[in-house]
Amino acid sequence: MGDPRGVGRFPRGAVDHLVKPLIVAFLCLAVLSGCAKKEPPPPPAAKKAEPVTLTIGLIPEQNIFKQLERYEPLAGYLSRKTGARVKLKVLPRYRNIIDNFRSSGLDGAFFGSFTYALAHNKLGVEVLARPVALDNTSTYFGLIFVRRDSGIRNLKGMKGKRFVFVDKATTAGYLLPLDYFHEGGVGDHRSYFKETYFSGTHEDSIYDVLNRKADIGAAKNTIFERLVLEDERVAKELVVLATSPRVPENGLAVRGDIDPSLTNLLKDSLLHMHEDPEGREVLKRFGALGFIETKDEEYDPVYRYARKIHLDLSTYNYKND
Amino acid sequence: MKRKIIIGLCIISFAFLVSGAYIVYAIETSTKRLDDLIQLHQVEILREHFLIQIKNVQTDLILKDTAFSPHFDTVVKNVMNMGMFVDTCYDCHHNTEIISKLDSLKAKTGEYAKALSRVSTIRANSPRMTAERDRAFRVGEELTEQVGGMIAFTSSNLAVKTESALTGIQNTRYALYALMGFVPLFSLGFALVYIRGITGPMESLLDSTRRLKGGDLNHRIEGLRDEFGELALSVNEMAGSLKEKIEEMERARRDLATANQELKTAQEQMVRAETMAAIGTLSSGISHELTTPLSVILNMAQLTKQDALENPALLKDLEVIEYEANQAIKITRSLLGFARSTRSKTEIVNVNEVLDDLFKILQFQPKAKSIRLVKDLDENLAPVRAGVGQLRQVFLNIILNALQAMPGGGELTVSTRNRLDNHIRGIEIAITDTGVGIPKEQQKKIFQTFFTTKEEGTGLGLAISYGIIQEHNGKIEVESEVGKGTTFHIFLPAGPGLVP
Repeated sequence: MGDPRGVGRFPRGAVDHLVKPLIVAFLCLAVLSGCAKKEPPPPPAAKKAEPVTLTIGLIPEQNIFKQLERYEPLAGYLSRKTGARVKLKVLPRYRNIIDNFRSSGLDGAFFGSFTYALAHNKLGVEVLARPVALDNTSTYFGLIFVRRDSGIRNLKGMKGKRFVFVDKATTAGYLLPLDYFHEGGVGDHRSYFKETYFSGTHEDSIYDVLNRKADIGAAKNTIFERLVLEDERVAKELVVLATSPRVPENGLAVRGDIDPSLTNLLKDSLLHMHEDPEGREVLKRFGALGFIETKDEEYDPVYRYARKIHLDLSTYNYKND
Repeated sequence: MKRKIIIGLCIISFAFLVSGAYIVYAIETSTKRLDDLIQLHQVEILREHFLIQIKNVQTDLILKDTAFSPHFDTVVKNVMNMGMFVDTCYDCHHNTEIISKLDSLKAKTGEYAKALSRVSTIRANSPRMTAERDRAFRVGEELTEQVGGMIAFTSSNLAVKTESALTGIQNTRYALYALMGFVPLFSLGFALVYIRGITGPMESLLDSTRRLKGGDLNHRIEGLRDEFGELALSVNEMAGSLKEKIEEMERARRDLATANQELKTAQEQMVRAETMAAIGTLSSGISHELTTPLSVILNMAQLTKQDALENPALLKDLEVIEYEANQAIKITRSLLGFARSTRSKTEIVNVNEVLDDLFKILQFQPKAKSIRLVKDLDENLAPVRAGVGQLRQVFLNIILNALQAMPGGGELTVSTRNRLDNHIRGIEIAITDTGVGIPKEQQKKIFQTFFTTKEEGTGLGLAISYGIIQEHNGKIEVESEVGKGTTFHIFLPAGPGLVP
């Protein structure tokens, strides 16, 4: 769009007609006052090496634009700290994060626990750190919920209803329901329900159930709890029927072939950002207390969970049908 | 004046300051109006861009999942730009109504973004996908309509504000022109009034000093105020003081002249007195020396007369000798008396007696023989205190002159009377001849020392007479007409205790 202040459609003739006397007066005043300021010449552009660009992908945990807004300050902070240009790329679907690593060459991403498990398995990315939420937890778990007034209280009551998942590549939004169905003896959930679909975000799954677009939904507890604070209807009108085991919160994982010094710098910046005022301010806007170091072993619950429901991560088709 | 000049400078400075402040204010106001106009135009452009952006997103939405579907990043960028447009609007507007509209616009934009996000992320059956897309499209259309309404509102508002701003700028320009004309004229007029206020009194002062320089010390400067008034007062005082000094100097000069005159007169009188004293002494000696031979002649004549009783012719001659000897003895006695009188001191004198004595001497003067003497003496004439010899000298000088003025004979009238002159009582002696008279131009000079018209004259007689009368605090004046005669009027004060 360009600089909105830089473009004017004021008629040139009219401007000249009106402004000339004023310019003369200004010049007189400037001469009289002797205080005409002279803009200092711009400093000669220092020849700097073009900074390394780190493209970090984001999964649509929530409304993609809200997600971008949440991560932009963090990206800016990391750019300043590492000297690299940290660029965010939000993805419309969870599975795209795997695709974009291959097609667009992402350098890293804030993966969900399941997408990390997939990406680690398929792409060899390594997790560096993950945030500690304001309640001092660094894990999350999945929820299955219905409207309080739906009368649905168990799997049996769900039969013939509409189920909204988040994405096939989410722990809370897909693995948990699958496990829940598996535990309840439902083999083919597509035929068990009247309709199943993927909302794409945890937030949409919650709102779809709340707004009666779906009868049963699955989402992660952190988003659910955030919406509880934003919309009182969430706590008042929804009821949770099942939860999953805790898995690590969405962490930053990068490609294994990135310059180790940059990887370390990135990791250190995240791990120590709560120690400086600017970092604390960014964390406050991000909604976290800080970042903690994260190892691949910490995703074992996800692997176990996948194995439990007989998912082979190396061959798993994470694309939503 | 100093205070007035300072006040004047302050007023002119204030006028320039106010006009300068107004110019700055006018420039600021006009600049702000132009800025407002530019901002309004920018807002219009911004909203048009926003509308285009929405339409772009709507197009993205329509083309979604088609062969012409734009890249997701493009869609995200378009939606983000849309959000930035709304945020930019907040930078320009502060009006509550506009803020409310912007809030509504932002909420609708957020709803649109959310719907778009939803369309981008959802995977469901076709009816649900279509429903979500339709919903997003509907929200987009609502947003388009809302922005269109705001553009229309902005456009109408812009037209009104443009006209208002242009009118304001035009008015400001006229006001600036007026100010640029008025302030110099005002300053010029003010300066002229001030200059006149200074030059007017200056001219008045210069004119007055010229008049004073010309000798008009009675001139006074009037009607000036302030420092000029004080200066005028000083000049007036100076003129007054100068006048007094000049008058004092004039008086001193007159006094000096009088003193000189008196000194000269005194010197002359002293010389005359000494001369008269010498003449007196000489006369006394001559008289003394002549008395003896004359007595011898008289005695011898008388003795011879007895011897010549029988010779009548001789007897007659002897009688003539006896008579002439007696006459000669009288003359010598008169000379002795004259000599004694020149050294006399002042005393109470009856002027008639002095004149009578003088007449006795005169009758022996050859020149007096052809003169008829008329005596008009006041019997009640008051006595005066005077030196008899001196008075006699005065009268003798005047009478001898009268006799000389009447070579062919004439009439000499001597009169005395009591007289009041300038409240002073005294006597007047008038000696009138019917001689040749004194020309007018000589009348003023006859009392001057050494002034004479006679070949053998010394020019001392009347001068000494004048001095003597002055010495007696009297006055001597001449009244004469050529061919008719001359009258000398002598006034002598009676003196204390002698008032008649």
